[in-house]
Amino acid sequence: MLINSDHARWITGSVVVTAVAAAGYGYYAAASPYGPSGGSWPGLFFGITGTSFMVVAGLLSARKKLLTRRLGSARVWMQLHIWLGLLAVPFIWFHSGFGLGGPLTTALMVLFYIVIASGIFGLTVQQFLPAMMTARVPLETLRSQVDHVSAGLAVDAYELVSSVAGALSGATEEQASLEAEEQAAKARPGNWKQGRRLPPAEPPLASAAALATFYLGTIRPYLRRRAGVVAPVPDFRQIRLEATEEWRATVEKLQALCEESRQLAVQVRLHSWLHHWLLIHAPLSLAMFVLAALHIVFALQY
Amino acid sequence: MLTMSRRSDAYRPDGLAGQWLAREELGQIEFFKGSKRAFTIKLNTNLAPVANQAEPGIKAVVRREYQKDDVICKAGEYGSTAFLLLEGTATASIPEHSVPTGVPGRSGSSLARLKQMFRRRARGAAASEPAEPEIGEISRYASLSCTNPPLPVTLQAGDVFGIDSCINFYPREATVRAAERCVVLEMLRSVLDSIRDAGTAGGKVDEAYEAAAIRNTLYLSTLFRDLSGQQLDELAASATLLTPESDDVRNNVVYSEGEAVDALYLIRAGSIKLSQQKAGGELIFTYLGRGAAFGLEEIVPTRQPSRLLLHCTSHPNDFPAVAVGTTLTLGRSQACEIVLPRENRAVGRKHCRLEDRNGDLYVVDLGSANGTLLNGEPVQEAVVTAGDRLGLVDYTFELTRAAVTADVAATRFATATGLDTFEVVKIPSSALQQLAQHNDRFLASASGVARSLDAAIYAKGPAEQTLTSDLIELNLYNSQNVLLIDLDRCTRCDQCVRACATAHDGVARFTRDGPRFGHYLVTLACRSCTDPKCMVGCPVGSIRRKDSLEIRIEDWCIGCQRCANQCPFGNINMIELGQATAAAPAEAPALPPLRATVCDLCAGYDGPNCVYACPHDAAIRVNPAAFLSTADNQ
Amino acid sequence: MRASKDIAKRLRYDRFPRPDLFRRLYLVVGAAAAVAGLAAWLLFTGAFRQRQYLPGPVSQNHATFGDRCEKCHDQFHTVSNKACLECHTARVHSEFEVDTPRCRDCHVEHRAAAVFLSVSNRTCIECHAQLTSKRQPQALVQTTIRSFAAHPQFAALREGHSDRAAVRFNHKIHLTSDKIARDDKLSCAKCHQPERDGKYMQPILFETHCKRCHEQKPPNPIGGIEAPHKAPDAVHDGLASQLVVIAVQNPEAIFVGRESTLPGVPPRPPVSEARSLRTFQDEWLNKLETALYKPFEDTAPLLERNKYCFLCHLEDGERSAGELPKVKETKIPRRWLPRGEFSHRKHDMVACKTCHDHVETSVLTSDVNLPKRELCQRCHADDTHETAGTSCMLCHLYHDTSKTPDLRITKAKDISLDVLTGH
Repeated sequence: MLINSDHARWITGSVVVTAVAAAGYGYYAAASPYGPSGGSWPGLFFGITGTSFMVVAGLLSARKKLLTRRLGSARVWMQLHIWLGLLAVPFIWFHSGFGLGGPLTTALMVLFYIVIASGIFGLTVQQFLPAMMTARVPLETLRSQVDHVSAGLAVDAYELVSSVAGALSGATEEQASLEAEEQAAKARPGNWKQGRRLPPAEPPLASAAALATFYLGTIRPYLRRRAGVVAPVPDFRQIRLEATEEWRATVEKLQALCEESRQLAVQVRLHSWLHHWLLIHAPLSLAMFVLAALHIVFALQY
Repeated sequence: MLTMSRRSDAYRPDGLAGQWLAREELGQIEFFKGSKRAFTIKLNTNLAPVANQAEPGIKAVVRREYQKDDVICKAGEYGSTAFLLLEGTATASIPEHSVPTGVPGRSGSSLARLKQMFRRRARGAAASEPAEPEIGEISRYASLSCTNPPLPVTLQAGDVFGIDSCINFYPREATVRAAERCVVLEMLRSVLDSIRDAGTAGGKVDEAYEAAAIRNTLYLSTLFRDLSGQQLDELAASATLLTPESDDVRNNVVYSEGEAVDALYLIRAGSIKLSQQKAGGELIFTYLGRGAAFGLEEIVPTRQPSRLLLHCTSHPNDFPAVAVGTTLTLGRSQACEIVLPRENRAVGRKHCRLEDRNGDLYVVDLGSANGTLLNGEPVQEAVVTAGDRLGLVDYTFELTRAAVTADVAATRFATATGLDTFEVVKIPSSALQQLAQHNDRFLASASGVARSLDAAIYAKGPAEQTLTSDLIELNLYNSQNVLLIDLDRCTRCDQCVRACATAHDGVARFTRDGPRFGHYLVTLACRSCTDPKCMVGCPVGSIRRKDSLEIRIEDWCIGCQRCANQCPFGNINMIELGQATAAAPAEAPALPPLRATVCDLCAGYDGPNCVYACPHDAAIRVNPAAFLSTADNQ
Repeated sequence: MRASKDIAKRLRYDRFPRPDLFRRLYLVVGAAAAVAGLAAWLLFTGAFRQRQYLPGPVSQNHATFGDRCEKCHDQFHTVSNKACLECHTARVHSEFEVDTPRCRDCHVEHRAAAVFLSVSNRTCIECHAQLTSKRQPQALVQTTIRSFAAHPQFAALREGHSDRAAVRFNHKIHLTSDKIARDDKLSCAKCHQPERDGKYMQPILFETHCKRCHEQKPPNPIGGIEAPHKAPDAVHDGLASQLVVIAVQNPEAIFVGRESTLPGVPPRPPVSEARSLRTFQDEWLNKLETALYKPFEDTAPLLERNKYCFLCHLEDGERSAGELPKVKETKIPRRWLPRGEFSHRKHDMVACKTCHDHVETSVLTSDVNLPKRELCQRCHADDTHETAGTSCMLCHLYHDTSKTPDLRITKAKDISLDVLTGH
């Protein structure tokens, strides 16, 4: 979420709460003979408050399962998640007296730090990566559709090339896709998504043989590379020199397709930066809650 | 297998409430007898089966009974049906003021406002219904207000009414009340289209519609609000309704650049594009929508100072008529522009002055001994206009307006082209000129309109022009409620789509992709166009606007894909629903039937779920023209 | 600018955005991570041993318990006093205390090995900084003690307190008088010897410390008569029996005398003219006791006065003629700082005079020759690097001070209770 002036209230509130808590903790730490302890009443207060902050913050994922119920908009829940999550840090510090305790609590603290750090990383990344993605990937599409669109690009490239150079033998997948498209169109006529495909040139243009070679050798592998591999667009200067009037426009279109493919790879990569931190944040927070429950039980038990 | 489930009880049940007619019954009615064959063909498609349901009749038309004083339809309501009065009489009246029902789905709905603590600051101009009807560049659904309502009209058996809403999907203009017990057929567009295509009955319907359309447009127009009923009726008599099929209209062009000026136009439905052909291409000035007037800027001399003439009525031979320019001083002194005879000592050396202040003409008394009279009343300083009489002791001067035709631009400045279908009321300028000479207030308001149009359309700065071009290129001028996603905030988490799907039985009604406007993504979600192309030609009348801006696709959709093809943005998706029907041909593989789906603005909820579910405050639903034109949303 | 419909055409419409690989992955990974982590932790760190739940190490003293946390910890209850009292005895600190802290409030476990033992000053200060007590009237002991620097003056050294022992003793004469023969010169250690535990000094006893110079041998021609160091009654009986013994052993010398046997040697008269033992006894008892019980103000020479009882003792009341005097109970204080512990052995490195610096000028018995608190504070200071420590526990005991063997003597009659109460 973008941290901007909408968050002013939250920021001032958090600062004020932290300052008050710090003052309270400072006084308590100075006044206690053996130093602050998690089991004393102030220590317990900090622990309980900090944990409840974490629990509320953790409820965000539960909230996301019931999005259509009017339990507060997702925006507010996200703000709660961020600020209560951050507030939990000083409270847990005060609870633990800035120490690590025994083995269980050390493990818990380590998990806690990892969760917080990953969360802060995610928040940081959300400040500038969306704008970066918007700027760098004008041809952005849905992440879940990148494979489909990339396949579409490959098919489009084949269609363009075959419309001047005739059907090519080295492009079986594309041909199969075109076949399947035709079949689907027959089964469901009038589909607005079904455009008319250029048929392969009969007879193929002789001058386009170079294009066919270039396509099979360079363009096709480029377009069919694995999703997320950011590679520069192949060099079209040579083929452009050899382009005749008939297929000069085709070369430009092919270059546009390659550029789009490159941008989609950039999108995939930026998308993973924007999302994969969650793979650490969410599961470890679950583990953290489990350990926290254990800690609460055993601390009370003894 | 997925079925489209019903929404909550807040709505009337699907379809039309009333008694369904069997096909044979329909054929008995006089109206439909005209050209049965064409009619029958169309009706066949209305009988498309819905799985596992028997069809008692045609869903697109029902019979209903009303008692005396029942309201058949109400002004300001959205509707998608037309009515045929079978028995009884009804009165149609235009109320003085009616506000169309609120638009669901726009950010800042009333329920959201209740929850203060969850409210975010409004970004940009909040989309709200304007209180004053505006004659503006981008069309809005202005509230209808009629200062001088026409007399109620009595409808007889055999009359068809409510056509405007049925075809154009605008709020109803008139309230129709049953005068006695009535039997009414309410029909969806598909049936109405059949009638209009079918011949004689269709012709009568069209005529009646045209007359009513012209009359209502004139009465509801703010441009003519100062005219009396009689004047309006006179105007109506001389006006005509232009549609793309009219003879005057070729290739949808209403008038071209350079043509002689001969009429003023009021837009009733559709959009009109004003453009000029430049050396490098077409420069589009703007699109105008319903309620806008155009073509008058050449009639009303806006670029010239007000041409008032001052002539003396008491001593007409002594003073020639003088055109009032900037300042006119009257008095005995030679320095005055109008010199009064020296002998008349009662008149001051500088008696009074006529001056132009911001377009208004003021008379100012310059401290004369005997004062200045305005229409018999002594005055120090006042606004004067045509028809006023100034009295200086025993001299009387009168202000009259110069003949308008003197210095008028004779040719059109731009080309006016209609988009797809449109309805435009054409008022010849001769009728206007008569009016203008006797009614100063009309001229004043017309001048005002012309001036604002001039500034808004033809005198745009480059930034505004760019904005307009962008809006035009994305077809945003026609959209009323667009889902915009701020790409600088969106983390591409797809929560919006997920929420949409959850709210609609697992079928997401929009796609989080689309063209960009600056740093906003204009999503592939229904834009609630003012002139929806999707609804034109639905063979079974299942796609319609029901209560407000949101579009509903009823469950008798037959999956013909026409609406999906016609939507210029690709916002309607076809999904496969249910099992393949048993009656599939043997050689083709059995495929499940298709049904169209579209964003319905989350009509059963208190706000759109997509906006509600976005955790990063990136999704907003706004009126794009209003939102994007405020400076901080560029 | 790409048109909306062209974009729409390229996409394959998703009815419901199927959670992509990433999403499905992270749910699975999440659950797996949580479970796996927990399992690993449980198995590989031996978490079934209760040791894993320690907030800190167990102190050395309790290390013998090993894993048996239940020795102290009762399920879900805080550690109770009962658990401690199973092994330890700890009586009440003071009958006047307003509220009694729990064992665990001062003896904090699970911090560091050493912390347990060293009860922090701050636990004492918790109460003693603003002391309220049930004692009526309120204790005259200072109620706001925050550190040793703010410690009140030792009670014995305060205004109005003095040594009320009923003896006369002059340290100055004993330590510095030139009348004492060189070989007999006295030093602190000659009279004051520490007890076996090195803490306090053994009580001064006449037989051990004073008799050598102050032997009670009243002048008598017979010799060999020594008054026992007891009450006058016992002295009377002792002298009487000694006289009888002498009379029986030397009858001629006492009763007959010796005639002159050689020219120039005068005859020795008999010691006593008495004709009976009884008369002799009475006569000589009288003489001896008169000599012994001469008052302090007598102006006889020192050597003679040395033997008088009342050189040191005080007479109790008026003596009428013919009666034996009464001697006041000496009541020499055994312990000067009954509320604190002191160990002379721990202060071995310091000479006597360093702390007891006014002893050599002390002439009065009532002088209290203890070092003032300020003197202790020279080494037991808070703010120097070389402090000898300012922990309350160095001197004071918390738990029932009557357990201290020495203080059983508070019940004995020869302690000056005035020191304790200040009255």
